[in-house]
Amino acid sequence: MIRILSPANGPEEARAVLDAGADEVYCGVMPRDWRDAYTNMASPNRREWEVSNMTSFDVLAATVDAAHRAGGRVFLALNALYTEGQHGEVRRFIEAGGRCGIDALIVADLGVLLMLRDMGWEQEIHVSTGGTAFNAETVRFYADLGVHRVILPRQNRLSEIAAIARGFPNLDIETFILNRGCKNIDGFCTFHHGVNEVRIPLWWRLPKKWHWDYYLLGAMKRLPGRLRDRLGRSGAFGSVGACFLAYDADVRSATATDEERRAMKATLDRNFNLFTGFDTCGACALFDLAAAGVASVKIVGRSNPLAKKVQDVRFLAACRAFLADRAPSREAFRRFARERYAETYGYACHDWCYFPAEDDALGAEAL
Amino acid sequence: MERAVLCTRPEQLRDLDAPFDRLYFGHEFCQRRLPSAADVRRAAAFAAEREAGFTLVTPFVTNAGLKRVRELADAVCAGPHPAELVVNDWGVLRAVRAAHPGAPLILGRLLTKQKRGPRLLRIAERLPPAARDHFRRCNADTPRLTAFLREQGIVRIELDNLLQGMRRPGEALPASLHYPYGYISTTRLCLFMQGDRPGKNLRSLGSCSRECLKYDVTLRHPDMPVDLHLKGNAQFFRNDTLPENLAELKITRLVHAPRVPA
Repeated sequence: MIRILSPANGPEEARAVLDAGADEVYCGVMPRDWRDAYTNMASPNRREWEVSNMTSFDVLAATVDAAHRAGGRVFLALNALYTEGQHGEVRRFIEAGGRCGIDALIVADLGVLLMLRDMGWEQEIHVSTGGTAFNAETVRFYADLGVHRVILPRQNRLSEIAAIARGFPNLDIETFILNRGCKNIDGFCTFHHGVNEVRIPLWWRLPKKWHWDYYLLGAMKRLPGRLRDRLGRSGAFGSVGACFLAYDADVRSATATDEERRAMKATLDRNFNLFTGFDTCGACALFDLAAAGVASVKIVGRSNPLAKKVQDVRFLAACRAFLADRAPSREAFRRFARERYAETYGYACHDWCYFPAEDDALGAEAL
Repeated sequence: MERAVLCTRPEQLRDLDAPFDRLYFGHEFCQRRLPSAADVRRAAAFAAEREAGFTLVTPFVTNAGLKRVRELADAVCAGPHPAELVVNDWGVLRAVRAAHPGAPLILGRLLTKQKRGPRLLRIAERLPPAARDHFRRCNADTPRLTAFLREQGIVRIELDNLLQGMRRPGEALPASLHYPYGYISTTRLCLFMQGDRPGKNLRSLGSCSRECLKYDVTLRHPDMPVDLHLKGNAQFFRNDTLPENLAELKITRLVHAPRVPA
């Protein structure tokens, strides 16, 4: 059965999401001395906020213990891209993670993958979405280096994912399923997150710690689309990432009509918005992902409050149970997933889809 | 110092008026914009006529795109003119090495992992020394990875001219420096694709009408210290000031893009 991978930031969260139906949890550790040396912007695990990270390996050890007692597995994200001065510390992180009893390390940096090989690391190695495995040959490249699981990029078509998964029956393939469908390719994007935490530390740390962004934006996304987008572009709420800034787009063309130029500007305005990619969902695709042999689906949201993490796991677990118990047709399953989404979250999934229908129709051979 | 020029399509070859030592031809960011094998052969011949070297540039690819890249690699590696190949995808590296062992390969900008986001300039003064050093370097320059790249047949790496400055170790691979446009980010959810039609689905990979050839977009925001150039599926910054210590940085080639690459 396809596994559900949930974020968990500490033992209490691990127990709760595993109890809700998750099979595996992932997490990150950003100790104070790392943060002091490199700032949160150079997080060791791609999540720059204090609330997304454990601050010590003692908490990680307790999390592993709690997860193992509940029958779950724990993966530690060490998936940033490191420079020479950081390698000694990265090695110490790996050793500390090993002592804590983690079941796998999630890595993106080829240098770290080679370090693990040199160290004789015995647990599993998962290639992060930062490894940008868009094709089967890249998966083979990582398999040659001894990895156990490859996490595919968010921006693969469903048919492309299925083709890759079918080609590697002895390797775990993981895909994203819920939340934050970033518009850029994670592993190829070099914009910085967390700049405002450095600029205005208190203002940015405390609201994040209290999940201000989650609750406020959660309320705003229930507004009618046009009003929501206007608020999202107002600049009133700041932005953690460059991709959500409400840019003024200057559109030039020697050959386009005024109407086409205006339409292009409207597209850009709609996309550079706080709500772009918010709550992206691919639950409808569980039918095809499971059939293709995808091993695990990942829920994004290490910074989300525990209630949201549990809600997400319960939603996916209900979808998975429907699939297993009723053996529905694809259409019946999709209908169930959409209805359950609306019931769980209180609004329709509408245009926030990980795998839109028109992409499906094009198939894996389309460029 | 070797001087190269970057062209993404055949029509641009006609406009090359300044002398160059090497022609970069192809696309780094979009498999839909890969040239045909015939165009690649013509571009290689064009370079050879001018006694310039030729470098085929390839993007990240899906399985479908990989087939196209294999054809292009076959075209240049079996052609009459010696050529280099820039790879921006580990799968492309594996496939080309298997088919053409010994072909000179270059690690492209997408895989050298510099820290390019311009917002860094807003807080550069507040960064502790270790962080300041970190943001000027890239992971491809770490000794373990450099040794691995050499084993894989990589002979040089491609870098951008970072706004915050650059640092490289003495044992680093030789590098090319792209200017004046540095890439920041790329996507398959191309906003230009059908973007000039009302109601575009922002999350669709859809089908493309090459709108990137038609539009130029500059993005401005008070929180972003420089203008961003959005062209097709990639975003760029511009930096016209070359570092003074090119030799110290082991930069032996300058790659000039006369226009935002697309």
